[in-house]
Amino acid sequence: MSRVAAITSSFILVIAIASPLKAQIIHGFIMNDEGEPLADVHVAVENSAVSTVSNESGLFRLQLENGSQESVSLLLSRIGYQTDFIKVDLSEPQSKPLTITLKQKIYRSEAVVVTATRTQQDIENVSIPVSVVTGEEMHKTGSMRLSDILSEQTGMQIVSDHGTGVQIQGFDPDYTLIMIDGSPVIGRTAGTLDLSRISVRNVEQIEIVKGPSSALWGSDALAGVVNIITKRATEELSGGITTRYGKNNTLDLSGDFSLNKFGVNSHIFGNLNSSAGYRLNPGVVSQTVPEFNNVTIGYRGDTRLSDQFEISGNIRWFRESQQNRSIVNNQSGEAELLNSDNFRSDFMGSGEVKFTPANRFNLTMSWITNHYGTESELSFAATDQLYSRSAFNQTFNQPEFKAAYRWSDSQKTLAGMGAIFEQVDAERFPGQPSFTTQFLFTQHSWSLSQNFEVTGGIRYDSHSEYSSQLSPKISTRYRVSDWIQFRASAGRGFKAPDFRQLFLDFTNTTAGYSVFGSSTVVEGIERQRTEGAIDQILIPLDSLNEIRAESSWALNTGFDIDPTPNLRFRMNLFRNNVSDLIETAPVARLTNGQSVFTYFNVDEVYTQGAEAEFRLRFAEQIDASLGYQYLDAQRRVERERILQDDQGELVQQTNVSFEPMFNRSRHSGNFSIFYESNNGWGANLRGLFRGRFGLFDRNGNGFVDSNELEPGYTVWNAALTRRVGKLATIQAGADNIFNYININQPFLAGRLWYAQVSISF
Amino acid sequence: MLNLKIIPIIILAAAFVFTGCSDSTTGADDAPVSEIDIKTVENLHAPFDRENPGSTPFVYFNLRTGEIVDAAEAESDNWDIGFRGTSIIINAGSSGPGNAGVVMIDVPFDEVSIAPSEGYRQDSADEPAITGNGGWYTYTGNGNPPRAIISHDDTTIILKTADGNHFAKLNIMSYYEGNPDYGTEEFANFQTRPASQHFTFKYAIQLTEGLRELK
Repeated sequence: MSRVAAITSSFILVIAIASPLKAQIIHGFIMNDEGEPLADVHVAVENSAVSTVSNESGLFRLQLENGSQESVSLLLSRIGYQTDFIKVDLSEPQSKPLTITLKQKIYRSEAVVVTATRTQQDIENVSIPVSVVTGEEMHKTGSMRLSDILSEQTGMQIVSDHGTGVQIQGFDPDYTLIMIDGSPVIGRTAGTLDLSRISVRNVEQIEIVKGPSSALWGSDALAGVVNIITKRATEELSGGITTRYGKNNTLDLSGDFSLNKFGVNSHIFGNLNSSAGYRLNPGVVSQTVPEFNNVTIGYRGDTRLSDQFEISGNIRWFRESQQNRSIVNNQSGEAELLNSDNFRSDFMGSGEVKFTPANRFNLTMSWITNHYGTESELSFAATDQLYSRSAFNQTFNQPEFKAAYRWSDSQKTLAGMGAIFEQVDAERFPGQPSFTTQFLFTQHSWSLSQNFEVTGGIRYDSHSEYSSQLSPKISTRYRVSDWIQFRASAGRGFKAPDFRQLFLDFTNTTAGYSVFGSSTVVEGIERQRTEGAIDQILIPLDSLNEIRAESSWALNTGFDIDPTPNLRFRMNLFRNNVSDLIETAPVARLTNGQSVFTYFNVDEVYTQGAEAEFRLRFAEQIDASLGYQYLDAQRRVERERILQDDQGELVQQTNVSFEPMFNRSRHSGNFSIFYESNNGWGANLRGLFRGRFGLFDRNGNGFVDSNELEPGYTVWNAALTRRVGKLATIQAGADNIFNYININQPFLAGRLWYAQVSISF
Repeated sequence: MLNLKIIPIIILAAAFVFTGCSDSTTGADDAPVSEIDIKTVENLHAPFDRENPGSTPFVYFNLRTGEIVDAAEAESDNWDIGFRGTSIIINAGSSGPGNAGVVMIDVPFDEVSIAPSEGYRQDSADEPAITGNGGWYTYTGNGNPPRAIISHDDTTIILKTADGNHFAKLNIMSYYEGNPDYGTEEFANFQTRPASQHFTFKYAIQLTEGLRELK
């Protein structure tokens, strides 16, 4: 409210200055529906060359060439808003400033995104496919964890593999970088970063970039980037609590508190989340999702020390414990029940200093430190005796130095350098391996006109354990007219070999085979040779090539069409050519007849498809959307086959083909309708469709055959909201209303009802 | 626990060959008659204890009789093929005194109509003639179903018996008890997956010596 007062007072000031200048001057104030001043609105006088742009307070001032006309028409345009004409009568001196309200287009455009270019940019002006999920949407859908909300986005398929991950453009979860406020989240199990670790209760928005973004973000940003932007204190004092209770004894309790005083913005957040879990397979002693409880605590703060210095910091801590059961066969072949206790914790901290010595120039220094750890304990249920214990710890440190320079209104450059120090501590990686990456990146954006922009960038990563990576990217957007905009981008992404692929030193004592990482294989085989265990070396050790990162070249192109202010159609076509995928292959034979394996770059894959989204608003109260993705993901398969000729004699044949990959649905889509009344009621219905997909390899040939397809399914979710008074909102909802259960889709718990109360001030 | 069932189906395919042919110089009795015996063996238990390999000898099988042969007869021609865990041996080369031989072809069992005349391999200390992973099965590792031995339904093992006189074709149908469907959650889950080391296989043997016809 105080801001409005400030604006009003600045008006009075403007009026006082403007009034003696009579009719040759037009001045005014432009705001949006909610009364917020609008900057960067282009104000042009029709049939003349006179134009200007509104400033940060939404104010503009136009000086006309001559005063002979009786009236002029002003054309007001801004990206994301409906273009408006107003007629200004010049016959009388303008006594007060014009107040103009611009209406937003359907696709909400207040979203400023940072993930696409590492600079704040209006989503409409970004030349690569970016979508934003707002905090409001997460609230309306009752989302608790990151996996809940991502499952409802077009082109995002939730999949389960040692955790709940997301498949983007046909890539496994391994290939998507997940960040919180620009800091990478670490701690993957079998490549999957479990999205249920991340609470989305204090989230301002989630930015999703599809297509490779290694040119800015380095490793893992091969399929895309999901960046979670947490809330930042904007008002002097605000806060709220949200509590949700639902089936499976699931409780979620969140609170946040913001203080913006004495020049310091502080936001504190806490979340408790627990559930009894559930079981989809009654024949198994283990629960599908175990009983768990977790806690997340976060702080985000920033302050301006002077006109030139700003500092900010971010801390987030998470800890979870899980209880489950499993069985093991003892030496006499009898099954014994085990209790398992698993713990995982995640600490993320970052600090940043921003120095702005000149108007067009700033320097940023930052440090990110992350720690992820798991502990697992199995003990016999009958005797409570310990069966096994294991621990895994991973640390990540990244200092970075970044500079941004704006050459002119149309050209800006970003450049940075830094290093990443990583260490892992687990039994399978002897000697606590540590490794270093050094990187350099630069990016240049050039706006040839307001409607045409080109951005190019490149990043160089030099790693201590695998080949250096050069990741370029170029993107462009072209707004043909007010209602249509095209964009296209091409770039390279990579994913660093993981710990196993680099450092594994594992010998299966019962089966007798060994697996080494690419950094440990030479040493490991030498060791086995001195022990006399090596029978034959299949590939000379000195000819083993340095392992390369898995990489991809990708092309994304698409357009936005806004035929009316209430309708948007967005489409993106993609193609990814992936090479150097890492697989194991034997490198030596042991005297016991078993093999020694290590990792090689062998596989090739391509994925291509199209993503389309309609958004429609009617009667200002209803927002509907329809999304669809077509996906074609194929893997290169080389088969040497021995066949027979007419006489039955042997013939050898080699054929290479591309064959469909498992767990990819050719068709997927979603539907949603949100209704918001003026009297405090709200309701929504969302449907998620997943088409047929291959799951089990029945014949072991490594690709999907027509008899290996599982049926598709649709899940419907709904929620009803009622605002009570000024502060409280109550919500009741049900996810998976028709109780679709598929034992192969463990993240679908069956029908889940819940009730939620939130209070905010 | 040996649960062995043998289903013999005798096909006398060429029973009518004699009819028109009565040339005294060749003699009707000399014309080789194709006589093929098709059998399915279910749940042949062939355990392997890695800790103590001596306690789990190979399970030896005679394709000609369709019966399991006692391990005491390992040094004879009385067996053709042996099973232990995922290892399959033949009675030849480093594995036995016989003259067995093997070729593996990527043709489904039912489509194999004749055995090749050459190309037969014998077991060596380095490598068995019946290749394991990538041969008669694929080990799925981290795939789905995980850590499973998936037998290849389109791989056929063509054998010469230990006496060197008969040709046979064989397909391993399953390594798991009850020949389960690999495409189920029940199989994917270790807690409900049937026991391994139980072979189900089908084979067709040419009973007439020297004839290569298998269909």
